[in-house]
Amino acid sequence: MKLFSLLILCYILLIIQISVVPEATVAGSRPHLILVMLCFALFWSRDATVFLWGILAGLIYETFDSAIPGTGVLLLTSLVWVAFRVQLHFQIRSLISRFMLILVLAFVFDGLFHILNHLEAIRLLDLTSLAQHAAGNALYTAVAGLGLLVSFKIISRLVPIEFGQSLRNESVYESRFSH
Amino acid sequence: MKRETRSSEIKLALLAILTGICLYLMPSAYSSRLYNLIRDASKPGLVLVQQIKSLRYASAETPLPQTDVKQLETKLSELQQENRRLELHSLKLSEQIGQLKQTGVPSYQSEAGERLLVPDLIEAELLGDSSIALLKDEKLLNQGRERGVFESSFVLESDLPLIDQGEQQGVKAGYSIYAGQAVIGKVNEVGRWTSSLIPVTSVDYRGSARIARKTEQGLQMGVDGILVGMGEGRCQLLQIPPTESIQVGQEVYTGEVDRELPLSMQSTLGQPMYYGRIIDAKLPRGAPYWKIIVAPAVKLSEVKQVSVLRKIVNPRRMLTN
Repeated sequence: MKLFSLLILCYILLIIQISVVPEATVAGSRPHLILVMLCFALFWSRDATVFLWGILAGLIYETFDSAIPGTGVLLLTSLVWVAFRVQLHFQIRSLISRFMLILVLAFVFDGLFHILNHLEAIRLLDLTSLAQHAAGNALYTAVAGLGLLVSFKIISRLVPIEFGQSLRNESVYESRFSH
Repeated sequence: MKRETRSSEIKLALLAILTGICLYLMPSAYSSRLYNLIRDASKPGLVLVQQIKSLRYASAETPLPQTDVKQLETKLSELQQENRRLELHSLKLSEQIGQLKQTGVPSYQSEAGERLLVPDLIEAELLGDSSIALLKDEKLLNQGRERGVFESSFVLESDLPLIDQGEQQGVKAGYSIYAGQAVIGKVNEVGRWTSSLIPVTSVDYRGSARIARKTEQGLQMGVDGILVGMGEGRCQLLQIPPTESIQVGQEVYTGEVDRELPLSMQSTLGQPMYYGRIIDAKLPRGAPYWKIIVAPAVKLSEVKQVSVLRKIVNPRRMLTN
Protein backbone atom coordinates (compact mmCIF):
# COMPACT_ATOMS: atom_id res chain seq x y z
CA MET A 1 0.00 0.00 0.00
CA LYS A 2 2.81 2.37 0.94
CA LEU A 3 4.71 1.63 -2.27
CA PHE A 4 1.59 2.00 -4.36
CA SER A 5 0.65 5.33 -2.71
CA LEU A 6 4.17 6.65 -3.22
CA LEU A 7 4.11 5.64 -6.90
CA ILE A 8 0.82 7.48 -7.44
CA LEU A 9 2.15 10.49 -5.53
CA CYS A 10 5.33 10.44 -7.62
CA TYR A 11 3.33 10.42 -10.87
CA ILE A 12 1.03 13.23 -9.75
CA LEU A 13 3.94 15.37 -8.56
CA LEU A 14 5.82 14.71 -11.82
CA ILE A 15 2.85 15.91 -13.89
CA ILE A 16 2.47 18.99 -11.66
CA GLN A 17 6.22 19.66 -11.88
CA ILE A 18 6.29 19.73 -15.67
CA SER A 19 2.90 21.25 -16.41
CA VAL A 20 1.90 23.54 -13.55
CA VAL A 21 5.14 24.57 -11.81
CA PRO A 22 6.59 26.53 -14.80
CA GLU A 23 3.57 28.85 -14.53
CA ALA A 24 3.69 29.02 -10.74
CA THR A 25 7.08 30.58 -10.11
CA VAL A 26 7.48 32.98 -7.22
CA ALA A 27 10.22 35.59 -7.73
CA GLY A 28 11.89 33.27 -10.25
CA SER A 29 11.95 30.32 -7.83
CA ARG A 30 10.30 26.98 -8.43
CA PRO A 31 9.88 23.97 -6.16
CA HIS A 32 11.46 20.53 -6.72
CA LEU A 33 8.39 18.36 -6.21
CA ILE A 34 10.19 15.14 -7.11
CA LEU A 35 12.65 15.86 -4.30
CA VAL A 36 9.65 16.32 -1.99
CA MET A 37 8.41 12.88 -3.06
CA LEU A 38 11.85 11.45 -2.31
CA CYS A 39 11.78 13.00 1.16
CA PHE A 40 8.33 11.49 1.77
CA ALA A 41 9.71 8.09 0.75
CA LEU A 42 12.50 8.69 3.27
CA PHE A 43 10.08 9.67 6.06
CA TRP A 44 7.53 6.95 5.44
CA SER A 45 9.51 3.86 4.45
CA ARG A 46 12.36 4.35 6.97
CA ASP A 47 14.37 1.60 5.29
CA ALA A 48 16.93 1.18 2.53
CA THR A 49 14.30 1.04 -0.27
CA VAL A 50 14.62 4.82 -0.32
CA PHE A 51 17.69 4.32 -2.55
CA LEU A 52 15.43 2.85 -5.24
CA TRP A 53 13.30 6.00 -5.02
CA GLY A 54 16.55 7.94 -5.31
CA ILE A 55 17.33 6.17 -8.60
CA LEU A 56 13.83 6.92 -9.92
CA ALA A 57 13.97 10.58 -8.86
CA GLY A 58 17.45 10.94 -10.39
CA LEU A 59 16.25 9.49 -13.69
CA ILE A 60 13.29 11.88 -13.74
CA TYR A 61 15.55 14.89 -13.14
CA GLU A 62 17.96 13.77 -15.85
CA THR A 63 15.08 13.26 -18.29
CA PHE A 64 13.37 16.61 -17.86
CA ASP A 65 16.41 18.80 -17.15
CA SER A 66 18.50 17.48 -20.08
CA ALA A 67 21.24 16.72 -17.58
CA ILE A 68 24.41 14.70 -18.10
CA PRO A 69 23.31 11.04 -17.76
CA GLY A 70 24.00 9.62 -14.32
CA THR A 71 24.59 12.92 -12.52
CA GLY A 72 21.08 13.09 -11.06
CA VAL A 73 21.14 9.49 -9.82
CA LEU A 74 24.62 9.82 -8.31
CA LEU A 75 23.87 13.12 -6.62
CA LEU A 76 20.51 12.09 -5.21
CA THR A 77 21.86 8.74 -4.01
CA SER A 78 24.65 10.47 -2.10
CA LEU A 79 22.27 13.03 -0.60
CA VAL A 80 19.68 10.42 0.31
CA TRP A 81 22.34 8.29 1.98
CA VAL A 82 23.36 11.21 4.17
CA ALA A 83 19.70 12.08 4.90
CA PHE A 84 18.94 8.45 5.69
CA ARG A 85 21.76 8.28 8.25
CA VAL A 86 20.71 11.66 9.72
CA GLN A 87 17.11 10.45 10.05
CA LEU A 88 18.17 7.22 11.75
CA HIS A 89 20.52 9.02 14.11
CA PHE A 90 18.28 11.95 15.12
CA GLN A 91 14.93 10.14 14.82
CA ILE A 92 13.41 12.92 12.73
CA ARG A 93 9.64 12.89 13.17
CA SER A 94 8.42 16.45 13.86
CA LEU A 95 7.17 18.75 11.11
CA ILE A 96 9.84 21.36 11.82
CA SER A 97 12.74 18.94 11.60
CA ARG A 98 11.30 17.40 8.41
CA PHE A 99 10.87 20.91 6.96
CA MET A 100 14.51 21.67 7.77
CA LEU A 101 15.68 18.40 6.20
CA ILE A 102 13.77 19.10 2.96
CA LEU A 103 15.16 22.67 2.94
CA VAL A 104 18.78 21.59 3.32
CA LEU A 105 18.45 18.71 0.85
CA ALA A 106 16.79 20.94 -1.75
CA PHE A 107 19.44 23.65 -1.35
CA VAL A 108 22.38 21.28 -1.71
CA PHE A 109 20.73 19.38 -4.57
CA ASP A 110 19.77 22.51 -6.52
CA GLY A 111 23.22 24.05 -6.19
CA LEU A 112 25.22 20.93 -6.99
CA PHE A 113 22.94 19.81 -9.84
CA HIS A 114 23.38 23.19 -11.52
CA ILE A 115 27.11 23.20 -10.99
CA LEU A 116 27.47 19.67 -12.38
CA ASN A 117 25.35 20.22 -15.46
CA HIS A 118 26.09 23.81 -16.36
CA LEU A 119 29.74 24.00 -15.50
CA GLU A 120 30.59 26.12 -18.54
CA ALA A 121 27.89 28.69 -17.73
CA ILE A 122 28.65 28.71 -14.01
CA ARG A 123 32.14 30.02 -14.68
CA LEU A 124 30.57 33.16 -16.12
CA LEU A 125 28.14 33.61 -13.22
CA ASP A 126 29.06 34.51 -9.67
CA LEU A 127 28.45 31.99 -6.92
CA THR A 128 26.39 34.36 -4.77
CA SER A 129 23.65 34.66 -7.40
CA LEU A 130 23.71 30.87 -7.81
CA ALA A 131 23.39 30.39 -4.04
CA GLN A 132 20.53 32.91 -3.89
CA HIS A 133 18.71 31.11 -6.68
CA ALA A 134 19.24 27.73 -4.99
CA ALA A 135 18.06 29.16 -1.66
CA GLY A 136 14.87 30.49 -3.27
CA ASN A 137 14.13 27.15 -4.89
CA ALA A 138 14.93 25.27 -1.67
CA LEU A 139 12.63 27.47 0.41
CA TYR A 140 9.81 27.04 -2.10
CA THR A 141 10.41 23.25 -2.11
CA ALA A 142 10.41 23.06 1.69
CA VAL A 143 7.21 25.13 1.95
CA ALA A 144 5.51 22.91 -0.65
CA GLY A 145 6.74 19.83 1.25
CA LEU A 146 5.48 21.19 4.56
CA GLY A 147 2.10 21.98 3.00
CA LEU A 148 1.82 18.45 1.66
CA LEU A 149 2.92 16.95 4.98
CA VAL A 150 0.31 18.95 6.89
CA SER A 151 -2.42 18.06 4.39
CA PHE A 152 -1.50 14.35 4.59
CA LYS A 153 -1.65 14.53 8.37
CA ILE A 154 -5.11 16.08 8.20
CA ILE A 155 -6.30 13.50 5.66
CA SER A 156 -4.92 10.61 7.71
CA ARG A 157 -6.85 11.92 10.74
CA LEU A 158 -10.07 12.31 8.78
CA VAL A 159 -9.87 9.14 6.68
CA PRO A 160 -9.08 5.98 8.62
CA ILE A 161 -6.57 4.48 6.16
CA GLU A 162 -3.50 2.69 7.40
CA PHE A 163 -0.85 3.21 4.73
CA GLY A 164 1.34 0.63 6.34
CA GLN A 165 -1.11 -2.22 5.90
CA SER A 166 -0.59 -4.83 3.23
CA LEU A 167 -2.98 -5.17 0.32
CA ARG A 168 -2.89 -8.96 0.58
CA ASN A 169 -5.88 -10.57 2.24
CA GLU A 170 -4.52 -12.20 5.32
CA SER A 171 -7.74 -13.99 6.28
CA VAL A 172 -7.54 -17.70 5.67
CA TYR A 173 -10.40 -19.92 4.59
CA GLU A 174 -11.30 -22.36 7.24
CA SER A 175 -13.52 -25.17 6.27
CA ARG A 176 -16.33 -25.81 8.62
CA PHE A 177 -16.19 -29.42 7.63
CA SER A 178 -12.52 -29.94 8.39
CA HIS A 179 -11.69 -32.06 11.31
CA MET B 1 18.84 -7.68 12.68
CA LYS B 2 20.65 -4.33 12.67
CA ARG B 3 23.53 -5.86 10.76
CA GLU B 4 21.09 -7.15 8.11
CA THR B 5 19.54 -3.69 7.71
CA ARG B 6 22.97 -2.11 7.37
CA SER B 7 24.02 -4.67 4.79
CA SER B 8 20.88 -4.12 2.67
CA GLU B 9 21.42 -0.35 2.97
CA ILE B 10 24.96 -0.65 1.64
CA LYS B 11 23.87 -3.03 -1.12
CA LEU B 12 21.09 -0.71 -2.35
CA ALA B 13 23.29 2.38 -2.10
CA LEU B 14 25.96 0.62 -4.16
CA LEU B 15 23.30 -0.43 -6.68
CA ALA B 16 22.18 3.20 -7.01
CA ILE B 17 25.75 4.44 -7.42
CA LEU B 18 26.44 1.71 -9.98
CA THR B 19 23.29 2.72 -11.88
CA GLY B 20 24.52 6.31 -11.98
CA ILE B 21 27.98 5.29 -13.21
CA CYS B 22 26.49 2.96 -15.85
CA LEU B 23 24.23 5.77 -17.10
CA TYR B 24 27.25 8.08 -17.34
CA LEU B 25 29.38 5.58 -19.22
CA MET B 26 26.71 4.06 -21.46
CA PRO B 27 26.32 5.47 -25.03
CA SER B 28 23.69 8.19 -25.19
CA ALA B 29 21.65 6.15 -27.68
CA TYR B 30 20.89 3.62 -24.93
CA SER B 31 20.40 6.04 -22.05
CA SER B 32 18.08 8.18 -24.17
CA ARG B 33 15.80 5.14 -24.57
CA LEU B 34 15.36 5.06 -20.82
CA TYR B 35 14.62 8.78 -20.73
CA ASN B 36 12.16 8.41 -23.61
CA LEU B 37 10.39 5.70 -21.60
CA ILE B 38 9.92 8.14 -18.71
CA ARG B 39 8.73 10.85 -21.11
CA ASP B 40 6.23 8.43 -22.66
CA ALA B 41 4.99 7.40 -19.21
CA SER B 42 4.27 11.02 -18.32
CA LYS B 43 2.35 11.63 -21.54
CA PRO B 44 -1.16 10.47 -20.40
CA GLY B 45 -1.03 12.77 -17.38
CA LEU B 46 0.18 15.69 -19.46
CA VAL B 47 -2.58 15.16 -22.03
CA LEU B 48 -5.12 15.19 -19.21
CA VAL B 49 -3.71 18.45 -17.80
CA GLN B 50 -3.69 19.95 -21.30
CA GLN B 51 -7.34 19.04 -21.79
CA ILE B 52 -8.30 20.54 -18.43
CA LYS B 53 -6.39 23.72 -19.30
CA SER B 54 -7.98 23.99 -22.74
CA LEU B 55 -11.45 23.54 -21.21
CA ARG B 56 -10.74 26.29 -18.72
CA TYR B 57 -9.36 28.67 -21.37
CA ALA B 58 -12.17 27.90 -23.82
CA SER B 59 -14.75 29.13 -21.33
CA ALA B 60 -12.78 32.26 -20.42
CA GLU B 61 -11.48 33.15 -23.89
CA THR B 62 -13.02 35.96 -25.92
CA PRO B 63 -12.44 35.73 -29.69
CA LEU B 64 -9.86 38.14 -31.07
CA PRO B 65 -10.78 40.35 -34.00
CA GLN B 66 -9.63 38.95 -37.37
CA THR B 67 -7.26 41.89 -38.01
CA ASP B 68 -5.51 41.28 -34.69
CA VAL B 69 -5.08 37.60 -35.55
CA LYS B 70 -3.50 38.49 -38.89
CA GLN B 71 -1.20 41.05 -37.27
CA LEU B 72 -0.15 38.54 -34.64
CA GLU B 73 0.46 35.86 -37.28
CA THR B 74 2.62 38.26 -39.30
CA LYS B 75 4.55 39.23 -36.18
CA LEU B 76 5.01 35.57 -35.24
CA SER B 77 6.31 34.67 -38.67
CA GLU B 78 8.73 37.66 -38.59
CA LEU B 79 9.98 36.61 -35.17
CA GLN B 80 10.39 33.00 -36.32
CA GLN B 81 12.44 34.19 -39.30
CA GLU B 82 14.60 36.37 -37.08
CA ASN B 83 15.03 33.48 -34.67
CA ARG B 84 16.16 31.20 -37.50
CA ARG B 85 18.61 33.83 -38.74
CA LEU B 86 20.12 34.19 -35.26
CA GLU B 87 20.34 30.42 -34.80
CA LEU B 88 22.19 30.09 -38.10
CA HIS B 89 24.50 32.93 -37.14
CA SER B 90 25.22 31.20 -33.83
CA LEU B 91 25.90 27.94 -35.69
CA LYS B 92 28.37 29.71 -37.97
CA LEU B 93 30.14 31.31 -35.01
CA SER B 94 30.35 28.02 -33.11
CA GLU B 95 31.85 26.37 -36.22
CA GLN B 96 34.43 29.14 -36.40
CA ILE B 97 35.21 28.72 -32.69
CA GLY B 98 35.57 24.96 -33.18
CA GLN B 99 37.97 25.53 -36.06
CA LEU B 100 40.00 28.06 -34.07
CA LYS B 101 40.19 25.62 -31.15
CA GLN B 102 41.63 23.00 -33.49
CA THR B 103 44.04 25.19 -35.41
CA GLY B 104 44.77 27.87 -32.80
CA VAL B 105 44.54 31.62 -33.20
CA PRO B 106 47.38 33.23 -35.20
CA SER B 107 49.57 35.43 -33.03
CA TYR B 108 49.71 38.20 -35.63
CA GLN B 109 47.02 40.46 -37.03
CA SER B 110 45.67 39.10 -40.31
CA GLU B 111 43.79 41.06 -42.95
CA ALA B 112 40.72 39.54 -44.54
CA GLY B 113 41.30 39.03 -48.26
CA GLU B 114 38.69 39.25 -50.99
CA ARG B 115 37.31 35.88 -52.13
CA LEU B 116 37.70 35.03 -55.82
CA LEU B 117 34.32 33.37 -56.28
CA VAL B 118 31.32 34.87 -54.55
CA PRO B 119 27.64 33.93 -54.50
CA ASP B 120 25.40 36.31 -56.38
CA LEU B 121 21.64 36.57 -56.12
CA ILE B 122 19.60 37.65 -59.13
CA GLU B 123 16.19 39.06 -58.36
CA ALA B 124 13.46 37.51 -60.50
CA GLU B 125 9.71 37.75 -60.71
CA LEU B 126 7.38 34.81 -61.00
CA LEU B 127 5.32 35.19 -64.15
CA GLY B 128 1.59 34.90 -63.72
CA ASP B 129 -0.76 33.09 -66.11
CA SER B 130 -1.67 36.30 -67.94
CA SER B 131 1.98 37.19 -68.58
CA ILE B 132 2.71 33.67 -69.89
CA ALA B 133 -0.34 33.82 -72.15
CA LEU B 134 0.87 37.16 -73.54
CA LEU B 135 4.31 35.72 -74.24
CA LYS B 136 2.83 32.66 -75.93
CA ASP B 137 0.44 34.65 -78.10
CA GLU B 138 2.78 37.37 -79.23
CA LYS B 139 5.93 35.26 -79.35
CA LEU B 140 7.81 38.08 -77.63
CA LEU B 141 10.70 35.85 -76.82
CA ASN B 142 11.43 34.93 -80.40
CA GLN B 143 11.70 38.45 -81.70
CA GLY B 144 15.09 39.34 -83.09
CA ARG B 145 16.61 35.91 -82.52
CA GLU B 146 17.41 33.51 -85.29
CA ARG B 147 17.78 30.16 -83.64
CA GLY B 148 16.39 30.79 -80.20
CA VAL B 149 12.92 29.63 -81.12
CA PHE B 150 13.31 26.00 -79.91
CA GLU B 151 14.75 26.90 -76.54
CA SER B 152 12.21 29.62 -75.77
CA SER B 153 9.30 27.56 -77.01
CA PHE B 154 10.43 24.66 -74.90
CA VAL B 155 10.33 26.85 -71.79
CA LEU B 156 7.02 28.42 -72.69
CA GLU B 157 5.31 25.13 -73.42
CA SER B 158 6.30 23.73 -70.07
CA ASP B 159 3.60 23.38 -67.41
CA LEU B 160 6.05 24.50 -64.73
CA PRO B 161 6.02 28.04 -63.27
CA LEU B 162 8.21 30.62 -65.03
CA ILE B 163 10.53 33.35 -63.81
CA ASP B 164 11.44 36.41 -65.85
CA GLN B 165 15.21 35.77 -65.92
CA GLY B 166 16.95 33.61 -68.48
CA GLU B 167 20.18 32.77 -70.24
CA GLN B 168 21.03 36.42 -70.87
CA GLN B 169 21.15 37.09 -67.14
CA GLY B 170 23.44 34.13 -66.56
CA VAL B 171 20.79 31.71 -65.26
CA LYS B 172 21.61 28.03 -65.71
CA ALA B 173 19.59 24.86 -65.20
CA GLY B 174 19.99 23.51 -61.66
CA TYR B 175 20.48 26.85 -59.91
CA SER B 176 18.60 27.16 -56.63
CA ILE B 177 15.71 29.58 -56.27
CA TYR B 178 14.93 31.21 -52.93
CA ALA B 179 12.25 33.36 -51.40
CA GLY B 180 14.06 35.16 -48.60
CA GLN B 181 15.87 32.42 -46.68
CA ALA B 182 13.56 29.63 -47.81
CA VAL B 183 14.22 27.34 -50.78
CA ILE B 184 11.32 27.24 -53.20
CA GLY B 185 12.81 25.25 -56.08
CA LYS B 186 15.41 24.86 -58.82
CA VAL B 187 15.77 26.15 -62.34
CA ASN B 188 14.65 23.51 -64.82
CA GLU B 189 14.87 24.82 -68.38
CA VAL B 190 16.49 28.09 -69.38
CA GLY B 191 15.20 30.21 -72.23
CA ARG B 192 16.62 33.40 -73.57
CA TRP B 193 14.62 35.67 -71.25
CA THR B 194 12.65 33.30 -69.07
CA SER B 195 13.28 30.07 -67.18
CA SER B 196 11.03 27.39 -65.78
CA LEU B 197 11.42 26.22 -62.20
CA ILE B 198 10.76 22.94 -60.40
CA PRO B 199 9.07 23.67 -57.06
CA VAL B 200 10.35 21.74 -54.02
CA THR B 201 7.02 19.92 -53.81
CA SER B 202 7.20 18.68 -57.41
CA VAL B 203 7.93 14.96 -57.87
CA ASP B 204 10.86 15.94 -60.13
CA TYR B 205 12.60 17.89 -57.37
CA ARG B 206 15.62 16.41 -55.60
CA GLY B 207 18.00 18.28 -53.32
CA SER B 208 20.42 17.68 -50.51
CA ALA B 209 18.95 18.39 -47.07
CA ARG B 210 19.67 17.94 -43.37
CA ILE B 211 17.78 18.25 -40.13
CA ALA B 212 18.66 20.82 -37.48
CA ARG B 213 18.39 19.82 -33.83
CA LYS B 214 17.95 22.48 -31.19
CA THR B 215 20.22 21.74 -28.25
CA GLU B 216 21.41 23.72 -25.27
CA GLN B 217 24.62 24.42 -27.18
CA GLY B 218 22.62 25.89 -30.09
CA LEU B 219 21.65 24.52 -33.47
CA GLN B 220 23.25 21.22 -34.51
CA MET B 221 23.06 19.85 -38.03
CA GLY B 222 22.41 16.17 -38.66
CA VAL B 223 23.60 13.99 -41.53
CA ASP B 224 22.80 14.84 -45.15
CA GLY B 225 19.75 13.23 -46.72
CA ILE B 226 17.86 13.78 -49.96
CA LEU B 227 14.72 15.88 -50.12
CA VAL B 228 12.30 14.84 -52.86
CA GLY B 229 8.97 16.35 -53.75
CA MET B 230 5.83 14.27 -53.27
CA GLY B 231 3.32 16.57 -54.98
CA GLU B 232 0.29 17.85 -53.04
CA GLY B 233 2.37 20.43 -51.21
CA ARG B 234 4.57 17.93 -49.34
CA CYS B 235 8.15 16.67 -49.56
CA GLN B 236 9.86 13.55 -48.28
CA LEU B 237 13.29 13.39 -46.69
CA LEU B 238 15.12 10.20 -47.64
CA GLN B 239 18.32 8.44 -46.52
CA ILE B 240 18.20 9.53 -42.86
CA PRO B 241 19.56 6.61 -40.81
CA PRO B 242 17.72 5.28 -37.70
CA THR B 243 20.59 6.45 -35.47
CA GLU B 244 19.44 10.07 -35.97
CA SER B 245 17.05 11.45 -33.35
CA ILE B 246 14.05 12.79 -35.28
CA GLN B 247 11.04 14.63 -33.91
CA VAL B 248 8.04 16.27 -35.51
CA GLY B 249 8.54 20.03 -35.68
CA GLN B 250 12.30 19.95 -36.34
CA GLU B 251 13.52 22.21 -39.10
CA VAL B 252 15.06 21.05 -42.38
CA TYR B 253 17.87 22.98 -44.08
CA THR B 254 19.89 22.55 -47.25
CA GLY B 255 22.78 20.10 -47.13
CA GLU B 256 26.44 20.96 -47.39
CA VAL B 257 26.82 19.85 -51.01
CA ASP B 258 23.97 19.34 -53.46
CA ARG B 259 24.68 15.84 -54.76
CA GLU B 260 22.32 16.41 -57.64
CA LEU B 261 24.46 19.17 -59.12
CA PRO B 262 27.90 18.97 -60.76
CA LEU B 263 30.76 20.42 -58.69
CA SER B 264 31.21 23.37 -61.03
CA MET B 265 27.68 24.52 -60.25
CA GLN B 266 27.76 24.18 -56.48
CA SER B 267 27.02 27.46 -54.81
CA THR B 268 25.79 28.39 -51.38
CA LEU B 269 25.32 31.63 -49.50
CA GLY B 270 27.74 30.41 -46.84
CA GLN B 271 24.89 29.25 -44.61
CA PRO B 272 22.18 26.58 -44.77
CA MET B 273 18.92 27.69 -46.36
CA TYR B 274 15.52 26.73 -44.98
CA TYR B 275 13.36 24.04 -46.56
CA GLY B 276 10.58 23.62 -44.00
CA ARG B 277 9.44 21.69 -40.96
CA ILE B 278 8.94 17.98 -40.27
CA ILE B 279 5.25 17.16 -39.96
CA ASP B 280 5.48 13.38 -39.73
CA ALA B 281 8.33 10.98 -38.93
CA LYS B 282 8.10 7.21 -38.67
CA LEU B 283 10.69 4.50 -38.32
CA PRO B 284 9.05 1.27 -39.48
CA ARG B 285 10.41 -1.83 -37.73
CA GLY B 286 13.55 -3.09 -39.45
CA ALA B 287 13.60 -0.21 -41.96
CA PRO B 288 17.07 1.09 -42.88
CA TYR B 289 15.93 4.74 -42.99
CA TRP B 290 13.39 7.08 -41.40
CA LYS B 291 10.24 7.95 -43.30
CA ILE B 292 10.03 11.72 -42.91
CA ILE B 293 7.43 14.07 -44.38
CA VAL B 294 8.31 17.76 -44.65
CA ALA B 295 5.98 20.71 -45.15
CA PRO B 296 7.78 23.44 -47.13
CA ALA B 297 8.16 26.83 -45.48
CA VAL B 298 6.84 28.81 -48.42
CA LYS B 299 4.12 28.00 -50.93
CA LEU B 300 4.82 29.08 -54.50
CA SER B 301 1.42 30.75 -54.70
CA GLU B 302 2.39 33.03 -51.80
CA VAL B 303 5.44 34.62 -53.47
CA LYS B 304 5.93 36.90 -56.44
CA GLN B 305 9.56 37.92 -56.05
CA VAL B 306 12.29 35.26 -55.88
CA SER B 307 16.10 35.13 -56.05
CA VAL B 308 18.25 32.88 -58.21
CA LEU B 309 21.58 31.92 -56.69
CA ARG B 310 24.65 31.68 -58.91
CA LYS B 311 28.39 31.84 -58.37
CA ILE B 312 30.41 34.58 -60.06
CA VAL B 313 33.97 35.89 -60.07
CA ASN B 314 34.26 38.61 -57.43
CA PRO B 315 33.78 41.96 -59.26
CA ARG B 316 36.14 43.72 -56.80
CA ARG B 317 38.94 41.34 -57.74
CA MET B 318 38.19 42.04 -61.39
CA LEU B 319 38.47 45.80 -60.76
CA THR B 320 41.83 45.50 -59.03
CA ASN B 321 43.22 43.83 -62.15
